[in-house]
Amino acid sequence: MSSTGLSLVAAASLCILLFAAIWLLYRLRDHRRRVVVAFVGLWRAAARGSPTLLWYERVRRAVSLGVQWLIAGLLCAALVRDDHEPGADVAHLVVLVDTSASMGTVEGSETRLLTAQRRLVEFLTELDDSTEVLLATADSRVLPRMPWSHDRTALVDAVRALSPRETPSNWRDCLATAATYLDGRSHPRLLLVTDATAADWAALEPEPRLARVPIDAIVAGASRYNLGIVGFSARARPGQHRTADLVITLQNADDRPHEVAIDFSSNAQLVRTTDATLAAHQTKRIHVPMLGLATHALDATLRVLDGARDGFPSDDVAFVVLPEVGKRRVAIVSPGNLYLEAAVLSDGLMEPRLVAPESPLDPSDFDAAIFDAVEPAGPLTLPALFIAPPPQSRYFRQGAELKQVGFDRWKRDNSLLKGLDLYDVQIDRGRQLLLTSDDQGLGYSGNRVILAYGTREQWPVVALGFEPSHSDFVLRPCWPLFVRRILEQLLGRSVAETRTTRPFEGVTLPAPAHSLLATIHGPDGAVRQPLAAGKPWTFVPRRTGLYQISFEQQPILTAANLFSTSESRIAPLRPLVYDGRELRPPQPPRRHASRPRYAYLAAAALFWLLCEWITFHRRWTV
Amino acid sequence: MALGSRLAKLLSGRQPAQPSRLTSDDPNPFGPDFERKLEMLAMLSRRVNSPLFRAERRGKRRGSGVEFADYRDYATGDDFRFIDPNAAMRFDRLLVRLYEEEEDQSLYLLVDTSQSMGHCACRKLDCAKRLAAGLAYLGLLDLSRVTVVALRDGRNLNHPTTRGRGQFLSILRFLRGLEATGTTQLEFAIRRFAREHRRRGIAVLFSDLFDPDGFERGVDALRYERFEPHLVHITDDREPRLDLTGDVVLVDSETGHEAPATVTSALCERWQVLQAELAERAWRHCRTRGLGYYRTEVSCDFDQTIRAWLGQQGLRTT
Repeated sequence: MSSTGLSLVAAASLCILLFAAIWLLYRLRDHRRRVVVAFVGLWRAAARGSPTLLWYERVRRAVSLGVQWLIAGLLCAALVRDDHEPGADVAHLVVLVDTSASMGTVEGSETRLLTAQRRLVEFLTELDDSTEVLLATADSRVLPRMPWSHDRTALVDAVRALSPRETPSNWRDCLATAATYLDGRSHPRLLLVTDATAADWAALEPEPRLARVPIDAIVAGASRYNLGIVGFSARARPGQHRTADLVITLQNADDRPHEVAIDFSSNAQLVRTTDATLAAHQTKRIHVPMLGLATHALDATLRVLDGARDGFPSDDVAFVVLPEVGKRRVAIVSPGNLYLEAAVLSDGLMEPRLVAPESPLDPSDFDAAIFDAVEPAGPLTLPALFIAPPPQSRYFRQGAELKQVGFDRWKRDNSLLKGLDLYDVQIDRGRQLLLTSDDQGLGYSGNRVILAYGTREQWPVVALGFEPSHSDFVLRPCWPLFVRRILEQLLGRSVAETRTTRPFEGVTLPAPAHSLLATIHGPDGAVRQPLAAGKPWTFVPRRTGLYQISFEQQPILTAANLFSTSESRIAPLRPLVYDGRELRPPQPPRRHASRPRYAYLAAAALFWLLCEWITFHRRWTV
Repeated sequence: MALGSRLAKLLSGRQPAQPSRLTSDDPNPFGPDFERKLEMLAMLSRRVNSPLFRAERRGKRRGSGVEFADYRDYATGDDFRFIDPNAAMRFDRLLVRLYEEEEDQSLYLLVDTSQSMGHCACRKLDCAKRLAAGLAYLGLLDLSRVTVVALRDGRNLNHPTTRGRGQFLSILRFLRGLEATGTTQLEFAIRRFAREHRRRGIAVLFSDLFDPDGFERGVDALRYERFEPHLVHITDDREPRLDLTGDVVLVDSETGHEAPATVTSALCERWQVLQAELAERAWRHCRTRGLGYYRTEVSCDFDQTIRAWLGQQGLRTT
C-alpha cells in the first residue's frame, strides 16, 4: 500500500517550524499573570511545604517542552510519505531439501527423501497465501528448484519431483546461500528438510546472517546401520600395465562389528575377494598388492557377510581407473649432483637423464628439467626446477647472501609443500630470491624468500635459493619427496596414482581441438554431448560409476565415487541443534498483517498528547 | 432627631448633614438590617448583663468609693476624716481607711486597616467594621468609654473617646470612612496606640493577623501596656479563588512583593491548612496568656458572631 504524504525534507522542515513555534509559546508562557493576594507570605509557606519533589520542580518545564516536541515530532514523522512496500507484509520461507546421498537411504519401504517429501507437502498445504516460498535442494551445493512463489500446486509438484543425488552434503555453503536468499526479505524463515546426519551438523559453524532467522526442520530417518567404501585408489606398477597396488578404505557406521567381503572386479570379471572385520564405528584401510587387471578399470563391491544389506547402497560400490603408466623424462642439467640424481631416481616413474649445462634441451625429449646452479643454454622450453640459480640468472634475480639460515616459515597448505616438515633444515649459505609481481613465495628465512614459485616464458618454474649440498636438506627423508612433489606439480598431475571424481563435480578432459561431439558411456547408458571447439571440456558425472568418454576414435576412462566419510555415517542427529537452537518441526506461519507506519506514529502521538493533557491539568508539567 | 431615625438615615446611605469623611462612593459595609440586628444585640446584652462591657467595674485604683478596701498608716496630708478611730484605739496608732474607687470601663476597638484587610470582594475590613460597630453599640449602652482606633503603619486614626448611646452615629460614621491602606505593623501601631491612650481598659483587636513580623509581638505589647486584650481573628477562606490557578505571579497587597508560583488545588489546600495553623497558633498564644481569642469568617453575620462570643464568655444569650 502506498499513501501520499510529505517528503522527508518537507516533514523535517515542518518539524523544525513546529519546534520553533512550541519553543516560542514555551517562552511566552514564562510571562505569568499577576494576581494580588492578601498576604504573599502564606502562599510562599504553602509552596515551600508542597510535596512536589524539588528536582522535579526544576525539570518539569523542560519535561513539558520535551513532551510537546515529542508529540510534534511524532506527528511530523506520521506525515512522512509511507514507503510501505507491498511485499513487506509477506513472509518469506526458504525450503532447503537435503538431496544428498544419505537421503536415498531406504528405511522400511521408502527412502528418507520420500518420507521427508510427504511431510513437507503436508506442511506446504497448510501454509497460508501470505507466505512466499523458495524451494531449493541442498547437497554439495544449493540448487533452486522453485523461485519465490505463492503457487502451492507448483510448489508441491516441484517437491515431489525431487530425488536424491549421489553427492555429499555441504551445509555450511548451503546455509550461507540460503541466508543470501533471505537477505532483505520481510519476515524471513528457513525450513530445513534433512536427515541431519550427525557428521554434517556436529562441527557446523553458524551462519551469522541466520542468527535472527527462525529455523525449523523436518528431520527424516532413524537408522544408523551402514557399511561403505569411503576411499579407493590404485597405483600402477611401473612397466606393468595391468598390475596395480590397491588401497581401499572401509567404514562401519553401525554400533556393532561386522564381517565384510570386498569383491574386486575388472571388466565384469571377479579378480579377487578380500574379507575384513570392521569394529563398531571403525574406519579401516586395506592394502591389496599386486593385483592383476583385465583392463584399466576396476570396481570394488562391499558385501556384508553377517547380515542384510544396508539401506544406503551408494557407498557399497567404488570404481577406479588406472592411469596410463608411462615414465616421465626429466633432464638434470647439472655439473654433477648425486643427491639430486638419487632423489629423482627414488621415484620409479621418473626417468632422469643428465645433460651438460652448455647443451641445449630439445623439448620433445623431456617432460621437465632441473637446472642445478646453471642457466638454460637457450630459451626455456620446459617446466623447470631451478636449484641455486647463478647470481646473474635471467629468470630469478637474487638479493643478499644468506649464511647459516633455515626455513623460518613456509606455506604448509601449498600443494608443493603439503606434508613436508622443513623446520629444522640447516642451510649453510644461500641467496635471497627477489620475486616479480606474479611470483609466489613459498619458503622464507626471516622475511627473505628462499623458495619461490612462478611462471617464466609461460612455463611453471620453482626456484630454490640455496644449493642442497650446502645444507642438511639432502640428508632428510623429505628431500626426495620434495623433489618428486615439485616435479609432479610441474608436470600437472600425479604420474602414478589414480584420480577419481564425485558426482556433480566436474573433471576437465583434454578434448581434441577438432572434436565437436563426445559420446559418454556410463551407468545410465550412452549419451552424446556437443563440445565447444577449441575449448577445454568439463565432464560432470551425475551418478557414481565408470564412464567412458569417446572423442571420435580416442576413448578416455574416468570414475565417479561418493567417497564421503561424513555422508556414510547416516545416523541422524536428534535433537537437531544449530547455533545453540533446537530445530523443531515447523508450524504454519501466522499472517503478518502489519499496519502502515503512520498509524503507529499517530497512536504514539495521541498517547503522549493524553499524557500531556492529564499532567498539564494536574499541573505536573507546566 | 431620635437615634433610631438618624441611624436609619445613615445606614440607608444618605449623606449626613455634618461634615464627614464618608463619601458617596463608599460601599455600605453595614447592610440594611444592621439596625435591627443592633437592637437585638442590645436587648440580649441587657438581659445577660454582661460584665464584659459593664461600665461599673471594680478597678484596681483606690480612691473615694463607698466600699472598704484596706487600711494604711496615716501620712501627713491625709484627710483625717478617713482615720478609723476603732482601729486607732485597738492598735494604738493612726490607720486610714481606704475605699475602692469605681471607674468607667474603657473599651478600645482597634481595627486593623492594612491593605490585606481590604483585599477581595468580601473585605475583611467590612467585617471588622460591623463587628466593631456592634461592640461599640453594646459598650455605649453599658456606659463604657468607647474609643475606636484604626491601626495604620504610619499614623493611627482615632475616634475620640465617647460615652453614651448618642455617640454611636459618630462612631458609625468614623467606621464607614475607614479605608484599607498601608501595611500591617501591629507592634508598631499598638505601641503607638498605648502611648496615645493612657487610660487602660479592654482592647479588642480586629485583624487578619497577616503581619510579616508576626502578630504575637503586637498582642504582647498590648498586654504589656496593661490593657485587657481580646483578639478577633478575621479569616477569609475564599481567598484561593477559582481563577487563582496556573502559573501566576503572586503580588502582596501590602508590600507589593512578588512570588512566582504555580497554583494548584493541592497548593490551595495547603494554603487552607496554613491558615488554620495560623489560627491555631493565635489561639494557643492567647490561651497561654489568658487573652480572649475569637475567630470569625468574613462571611459570617456580625450579630451571630457577637452572640457566639458572649456564649463563649459563659453567658446565655438565648
